Amino acid sequence: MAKGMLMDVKKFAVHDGPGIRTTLFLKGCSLKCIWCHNPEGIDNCAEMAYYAHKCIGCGECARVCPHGAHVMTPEGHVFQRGNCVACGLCEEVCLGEAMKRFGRQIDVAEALRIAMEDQAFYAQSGGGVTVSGGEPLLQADFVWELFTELKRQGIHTAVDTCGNVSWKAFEKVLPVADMFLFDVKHIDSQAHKRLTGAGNERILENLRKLSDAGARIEIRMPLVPGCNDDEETLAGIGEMLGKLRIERMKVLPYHSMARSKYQALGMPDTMPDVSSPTDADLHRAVEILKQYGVNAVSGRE
Amino acid sequence: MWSMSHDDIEALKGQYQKVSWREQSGFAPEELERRFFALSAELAKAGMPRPLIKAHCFAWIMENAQLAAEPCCLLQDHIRHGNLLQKQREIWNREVMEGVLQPEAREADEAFACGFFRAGSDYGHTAPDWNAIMEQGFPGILERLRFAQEEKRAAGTLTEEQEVFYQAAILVYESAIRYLGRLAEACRAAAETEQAREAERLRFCAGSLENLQVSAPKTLQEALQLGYLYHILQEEIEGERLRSFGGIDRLYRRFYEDDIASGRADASMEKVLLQHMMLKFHALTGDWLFGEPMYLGGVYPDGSSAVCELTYLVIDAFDELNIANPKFHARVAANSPREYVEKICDCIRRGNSSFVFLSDEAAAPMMQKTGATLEEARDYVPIGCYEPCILGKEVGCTGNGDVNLAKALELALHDGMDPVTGRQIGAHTGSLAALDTFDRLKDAVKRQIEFAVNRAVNVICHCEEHYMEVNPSPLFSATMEECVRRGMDAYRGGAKYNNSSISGIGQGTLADSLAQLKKRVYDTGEIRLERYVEILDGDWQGEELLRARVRRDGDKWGNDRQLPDALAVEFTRYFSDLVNRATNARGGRFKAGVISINNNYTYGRKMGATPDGRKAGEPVNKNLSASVTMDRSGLTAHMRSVCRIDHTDLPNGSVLELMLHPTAVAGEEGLRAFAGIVWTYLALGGFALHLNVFDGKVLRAAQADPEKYKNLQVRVCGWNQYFVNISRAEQDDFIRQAEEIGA
Repeated sequence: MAKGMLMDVKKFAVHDGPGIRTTLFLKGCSLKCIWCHNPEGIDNCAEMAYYAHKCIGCGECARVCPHGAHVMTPEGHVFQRGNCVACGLCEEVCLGEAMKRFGRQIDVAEALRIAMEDQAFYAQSGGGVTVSGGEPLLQADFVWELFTELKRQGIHTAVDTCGNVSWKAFEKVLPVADMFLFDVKHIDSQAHKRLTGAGNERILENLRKLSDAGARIEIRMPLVPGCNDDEETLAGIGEMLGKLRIERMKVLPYHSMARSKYQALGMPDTMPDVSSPTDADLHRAVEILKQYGVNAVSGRE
Repeated sequence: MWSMSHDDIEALKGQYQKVSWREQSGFAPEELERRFFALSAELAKAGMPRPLIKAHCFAWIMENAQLAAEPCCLLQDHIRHGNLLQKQREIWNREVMEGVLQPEAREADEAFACGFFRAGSDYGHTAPDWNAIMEQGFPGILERLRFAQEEKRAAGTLTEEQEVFYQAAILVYESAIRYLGRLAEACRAAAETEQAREAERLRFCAGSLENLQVSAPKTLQEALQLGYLYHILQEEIEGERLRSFGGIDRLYRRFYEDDIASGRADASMEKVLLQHMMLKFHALTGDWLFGEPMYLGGVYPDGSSAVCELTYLVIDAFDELNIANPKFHARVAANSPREYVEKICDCIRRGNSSFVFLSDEAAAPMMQKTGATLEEARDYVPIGCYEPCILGKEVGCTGNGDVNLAKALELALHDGMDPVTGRQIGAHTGSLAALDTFDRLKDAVKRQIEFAVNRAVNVICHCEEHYMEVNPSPLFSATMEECVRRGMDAYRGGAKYNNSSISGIGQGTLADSLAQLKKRVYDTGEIRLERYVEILDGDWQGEELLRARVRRDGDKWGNDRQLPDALAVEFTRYFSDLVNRATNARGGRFKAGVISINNNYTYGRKMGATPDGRKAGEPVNKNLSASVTMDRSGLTAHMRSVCRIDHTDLPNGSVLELMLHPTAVAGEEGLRAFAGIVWTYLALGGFALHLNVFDGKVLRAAQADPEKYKNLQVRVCGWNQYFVNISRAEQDDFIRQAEEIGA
């Protein structure tokens, strides 16, 4: 039975595909977008987030930590990340809820159990289960096994992917995935590499193949001011998507609410220092994309 | 005449504030009151039975109070009644409660003062047979009374009590018909001096009132006029609040369809009529706490869906007005259209939150367990907050009392003594030393619950024995076929079902507390029970770390966790079995519910700290819901927990309330997901569900600047309120919840 590295679970997810869904976030990503709002999904190992502002200095963590990662000093609590192995014992006892573990190994049976808890909600709302990340298709075997079980139970399945994986991974899950939420970030490969750490050739190739294979596809595009919101970029994306079989495209407004997570994870903050696009900005992007026959909608509605 | 401008709406909202009383139409208020009590005293002195005294007094007001015509409204009712019957009933009530029932009254007062239980009379909380009122009109009801009286007289079986019943009811309905005529006259007279538009409206109303004097209603306007007038007679003149207005779509459908088919009116005119009716309630009671209940949708007795064109028109009419009263029970069955649920969800997410969903799928088996047939079970009318009652056959009394289940634990930990007041208000269930196993502790709690239920039942039964001295109800009883057939008042037990009720409160606080005691005292021995109780008696003073650990512990009701959920199920079941088995003094039974109204605050204030980390004075959990901010596993887990309780064992109703963040229900997808919550609650066996959509930031802003947010509505319990009008503590709880889901 395949194992997966689970980052987090979201119940009552309503924007990750149709109906009421459970979204399983899998850890580890093949891109490193500067605006990433799930930075805890980038690394494929378990890690602890420490929200220093929530710490009440109770010392419960130091009491249970076997690795000396939590030290109580006269000035208060100090988290020594270097010693942390992300076992998560401190999270369970932390009274201020300042510690949160991202990432734990689970097997398909456990993932299935979590997913099936809300079966009644899926049935009544036309919902189901979405895998997201990170990049879930880096764990394609796990996703395939999970989805195979879910399809056996008649549950709708969706993959939320950045596309930057081998085509083999797509081929593997295609028979058991009911739809793909596919990210498109930039049309120019150089810019794509600068913003996400990788060129877009493989991504667009996978998207074309997915479209040719007749998969149900919804495009997700984060609209990041100064990065990919210029007319030329949007027109290029529109032109490319206009030739494919895409059900819908959601233009999602960039926001910097995840900034505190970078700090909590001890990661350098790469998020652009720009404000969220306005409704008018979103509308403008949608109108450009529509000119190419893309069924684009604002993610803010 | 049919315009609905901003000015029209404002005039309708203010129609009870400035009334031009027609002084020549009756006695001035002081004179009316003086003569009323003189009449009442004279009749009592003559030895007349109470139902007849009441009927004579009622008729006298109908004929002698001043009236007024309302030029801005398509429905008429103004009568300057001075709340005299209500005052009279309060006098009769005092006679009983301070006389023969003094011991019971004292016991109930003490129990309530200590936050243990509440028990007493309930004359509101039911509904007349609206079908009879609409099908027969006042003349038809009168006819039916005379026929039944004659029949018994001819057969020689008419007893003295029956004769009193018929005479009283006939007097009441004869006077009600004369009141229709007097109102019509007032309208015609006022029309002489009004502007053309108002005069036209008044003559239209006069014509309708004259029709209602001689027949049942034939048009939507006549039907709404009659329905509203009946409401005024029972709630304003008799003073009985919380009588549900009935099923708006099912009751008025045939009038609406006939108006449209005959070309008498179009849908936009009918909508105006509905809005006039709704604004009447808004104007009459304003911000009065509880609002007027009416319901929509669900199934007919034959199981077919009752959702129709009129259902949607009612929702549109209400939605446009954006008012907090009336309040709507939206009955939902498996065969209700998806569009119906989505339309209401859309109202709620836009802040028009005066709706609660009730599942017919749960209601039918629930009512059948109380002895109703399937057809009867499908024809229920929701009373008050969420209490189902069989229309026209059941006198529900759904608000007789409640028991604080969390207090039962506090008492069990103190051998029945209330640690707050030092009074022995519970049963002696043993010292702490005797509670040496978890089972013994649970047993002690159960004995406290049993004690409270038995005492509450006893008080309520004693009150019921005196219902006829305090509240004979010829107006109400005459609508009920069974009462008319038997010649017996509804409050004497004349209806087919004559039930009473006790609700349970605080099952979540109880379960969370027991879970902590089990883990920390009985399983791990981390703390001795004596020490734990000492800490509670000291309100956690110096034990903040322990309290934080207890609060942090995930084993809390509402998270789909085995331990607390099993305890909540066990104790709710124990309580409901006790109540549902009890019989009352009117030939009926008790019905258990889980509805806290706002007693989760009232009772919480009277309690010390509890083992779940709750501090002294804080509220216990509300309704079926988890304690505030303890539902950490999201709303799906919350719903799964709550549906582990068998809602069909709670025939007096139960409710879960959920709060959602606006982003979760935004857009088309969000709306479908929102409606999906309702459908899932139905599928999981849940009964009543009420939903608020809030952003914590907005609530904080409203708390800081009430004037700017004076129209912000919130569904509080069984009713809607303006957020700025609820207590600070309640506001804080809503804010905490909203911030939790927004995080």
